[in-house]
Amino acid sequence: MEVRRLDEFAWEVPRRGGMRVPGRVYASEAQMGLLRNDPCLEQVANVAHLPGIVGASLAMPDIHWGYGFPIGGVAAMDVDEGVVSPGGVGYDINCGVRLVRTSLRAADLGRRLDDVVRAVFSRIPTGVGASGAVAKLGAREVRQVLRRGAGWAIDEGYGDPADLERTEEAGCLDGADPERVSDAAIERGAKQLGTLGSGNHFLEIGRVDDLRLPDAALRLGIEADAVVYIIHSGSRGLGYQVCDDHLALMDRAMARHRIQVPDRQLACAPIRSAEGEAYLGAMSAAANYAWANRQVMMSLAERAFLETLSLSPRELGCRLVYDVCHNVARIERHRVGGEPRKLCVHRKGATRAFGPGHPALPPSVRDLGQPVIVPGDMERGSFLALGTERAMEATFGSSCHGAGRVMSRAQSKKAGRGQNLVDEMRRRGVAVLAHGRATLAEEMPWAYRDVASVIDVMEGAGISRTVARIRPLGVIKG
Amino acid sequence: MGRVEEIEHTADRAIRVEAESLDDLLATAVIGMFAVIGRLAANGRRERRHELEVRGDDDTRLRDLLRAALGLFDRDASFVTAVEIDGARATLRAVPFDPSRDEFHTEIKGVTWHGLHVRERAGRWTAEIVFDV
Repeated sequence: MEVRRLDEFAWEVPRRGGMRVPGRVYASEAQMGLLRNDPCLEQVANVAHLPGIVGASLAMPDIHWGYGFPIGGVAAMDVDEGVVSPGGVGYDINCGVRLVRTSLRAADLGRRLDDVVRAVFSRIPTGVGASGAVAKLGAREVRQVLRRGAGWAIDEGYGDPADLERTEEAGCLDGADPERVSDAAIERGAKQLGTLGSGNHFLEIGRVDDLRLPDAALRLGIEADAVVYIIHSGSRGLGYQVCDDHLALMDRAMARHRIQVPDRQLACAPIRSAEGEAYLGAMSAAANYAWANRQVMMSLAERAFLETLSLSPRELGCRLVYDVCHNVARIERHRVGGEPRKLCVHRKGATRAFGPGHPALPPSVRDLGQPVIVPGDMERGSFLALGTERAMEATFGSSCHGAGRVMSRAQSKKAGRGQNLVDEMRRRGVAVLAHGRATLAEEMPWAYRDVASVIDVMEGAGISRTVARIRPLGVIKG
Repeated sequence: MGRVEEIEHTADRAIRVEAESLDDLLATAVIGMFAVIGRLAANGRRERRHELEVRGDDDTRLRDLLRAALGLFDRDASFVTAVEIDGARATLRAVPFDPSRDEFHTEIKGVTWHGLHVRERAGRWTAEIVFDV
């Protein structure tokens, strides 16, 4: 694939064939060296074929080969002329990350860390078919969750109303339309609320070890050596079903709308069409389910800490730092070529990173810029960053979402063959509990890029400012 | 029965299926997908039959059959062990998956269209399928 260097951290995939705009990939020279022959660059070019795409088909430095869109991709479409594509959001709608601070210091956990990890593991159902965190909901209740998102969970006793202020969109997307969600999706959602899932989803207990912007960290409730926890999960089977249902509808509707795409997984429909509006209504509903899901899990984890350590809620001091989604499409206003435009911004494995002063940000962090939570692997940890004005100009207010896989799941398993992986992680200083050896083998640190190399590119390109690094102490997985 | 091999994919899981007929390809792909999901402990469980129709072009039939089979697993943990194809009609035989006894490998979120093309060459039918996991 031909790529042209634009500056130290940005590369262009030039227009060719049916591409309506060029591609632009953020990467270091070393990262681009590895990407040049990877199918993910072809996927950046494929996305550039979609009707109504504005500016460029973007990719963040954690880009890797996905299906349809690359993981780490951002594409903004004009709402009047453009399309919405379920493949640009993915099956796990509003897969996202939630960072929670506590008043504990790492030494306070000490030998009780294993007990806390076990308690969290027993409270939060993980793995295939996980259910039972919340009593099975009726279809009517699921629809309430789809309408109200995190607010529903708080009213049911999971968390504090203040959490909403620290959740993107206050944990509820406008325009959610449960009537666009199939009965099959509702049924799948009825028993999975408050469950983590499997694959790369996790709950990680960590300690803050590298404060790079101490004042901003303090404003966000983060201090050096503080114990925090991070939840990575999404909309579970309900979201997968919504994506699948609407992908099928759009696949059938494309001919009628005279849309051709280079990969059928990019099936799409005009934003202002019956199919486009139906998808956005259903997608928003699934996004709200995901926020409720993470809200419930945050509260269950807090209860596990409280009981295990015999602390009062005041002593534990649990508070949401921020909750971000990284698989979603949203209608946003951006300036393009100096002109205001209303766009549908698809972020598939990318995090919103609005700059300081943006009206969509809650008052308590508005002057800082949007908190961006970037999880890495189970050993090298995660980062908290802030969005910038430069991100608004260059990436439709978007940044990276993680480390990005560099090894297939099969390769990762092969690398771990013959090892006791729990012991190996213990040797690396991390207590891990997982249901299946297979998941753990696929998710070992060696399968991922060093997240620091990703965050450094975003910092170097001026897209985000790094606030703090978080080192894992204990992890639960599906 | 045709042949299934797992192929490399960075983020997700993918299989390549090869068979001597289209019907065999469809059936083999379903069994291949369930091999990605997990492995049953010694059997002896009561089988249930599920009848469904798959229509459209070859690519659509393959994907819709896989989606329907995955739906059985997602809805009530039915693990497909055999598939018969007769024209547009597919008969799937499945047993209940028991997480306490059976081996679970991977949760498949969806059957994607990415790179999915059913091809026939010199009497050999092939297809590659990427699963979102």
